[in-house]
Amino acid sequence: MKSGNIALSILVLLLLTSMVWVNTQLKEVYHEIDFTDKLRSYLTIETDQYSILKVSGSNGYPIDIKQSEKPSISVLRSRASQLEHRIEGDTLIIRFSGARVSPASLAATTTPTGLIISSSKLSGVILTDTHNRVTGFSQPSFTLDLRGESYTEITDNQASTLRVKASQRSSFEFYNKNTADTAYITLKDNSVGFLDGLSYHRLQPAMEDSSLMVLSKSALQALIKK
Amino acid sequence: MNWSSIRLLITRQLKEHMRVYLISLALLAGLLSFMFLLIHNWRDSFTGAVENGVFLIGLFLSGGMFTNSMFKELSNKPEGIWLLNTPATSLEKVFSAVLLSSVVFLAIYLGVFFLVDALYLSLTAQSGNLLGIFSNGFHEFIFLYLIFNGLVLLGRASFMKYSFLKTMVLIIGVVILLNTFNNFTLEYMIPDLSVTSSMPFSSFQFRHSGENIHVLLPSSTRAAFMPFLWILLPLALWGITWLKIKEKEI
Repeated sequence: MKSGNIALSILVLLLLTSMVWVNTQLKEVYHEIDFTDKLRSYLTIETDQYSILKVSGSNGYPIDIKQSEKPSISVLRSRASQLEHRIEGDTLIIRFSGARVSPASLAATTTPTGLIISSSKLSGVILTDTHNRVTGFSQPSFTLDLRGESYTEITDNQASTLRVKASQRSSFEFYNKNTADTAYITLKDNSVGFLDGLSYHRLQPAMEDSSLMVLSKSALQALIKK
Repeated sequence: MNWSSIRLLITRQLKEHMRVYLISLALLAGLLSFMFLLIHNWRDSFTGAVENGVFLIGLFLSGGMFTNSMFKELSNKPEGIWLLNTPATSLEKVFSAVLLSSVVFLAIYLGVFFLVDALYLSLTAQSGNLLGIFSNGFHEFIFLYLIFNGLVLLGRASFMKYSFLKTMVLIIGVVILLNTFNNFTLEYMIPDLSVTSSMPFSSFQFRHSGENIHVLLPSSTRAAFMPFLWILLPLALWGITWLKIKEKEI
């Protein structure tokens, strides 16, 4: 047998052996999965307490942000390598990179949630270039700062003072029952806000640069009367 | 190894094929522009990382063809004898071919791609950025290209006629076999497992209660193992190419 063929055979054997070794490592990871856990498709990382959340990256996978006693981050196992996070002072900074899809198709997406961020209390959230679902927060004050063509679904939140700032073609929509005593809504740079699912005592809107605010008929009439 | 021999071998290769390389360069720029035009026209249909797709199609297509132009003389007996008798060692010949088809080619390809990408972004007035080679681990494809480069060079040194076609068919066959073997070993090691997809040496996915669950190598294991695959595998393939060329000399 020629030396080239011998070397090639050794290489093939070495590759097959490494493949089997890698599979033994994968087997160990498989046995660590808790199949009774609802979040078995996700890897959960516990974090320290923080009150400001900054998320940026891509809009390919939706990001759930919800209130929970214990702060944690759960990332879809297949997307674990795309998550970077760190805490700086009181701020959790997350970068969740990946594919970018057309913002127009985000509302109808069927892609599973890529990241679940749980926090007990959030005074401020800054979301850039991402598709977000902010759900179930109940606290005195809540500020959402939406940037860079981000799209945010805001569902079942309660706050005495709610501030939503949308810029750089961002859009947001209130779903189900969101309540606020005073809602400060600021839209600029061609941003769009749908306020149909928001109940408030006082609305303080501010708009610039061809932005669009969509209100229910009753809310619009109430605003005109004032 | 004598560096002046390597320099002369590279100069000879470039001088002899300069016209073809220049035309191919223009063709590559044209092909990349055409693909960018396609994704722009159908931008609502092509969502996701389409630029990355264009980069990979261009890299593997043009890189494969360029690599296959190394040792072209071996497909013709008289020219092959002339190449083997060139006053340089077989190691120098293989080294110069690797240098040209991996390092030099990659530098030129990256230059052409980013030029076309920048032109595309400026002409279509898009707000996006140039393709980020180092985001999301995309740079791993560069290592994959080096493995591909080693396989094409090995194919060139092994097959006299239709080496590129034969190598492509073999690569496809080997990938299918490796994947089948990988799934088989996983299902053998883990009873009742039904693998829906797998990436040898990296991860697999299976279905549980109607849900796809992904199993990925722990990051520390991956960090320790992948350099072995990315660096040693191309080196081994280039080394075997050298042995094959050396055998022809004898």
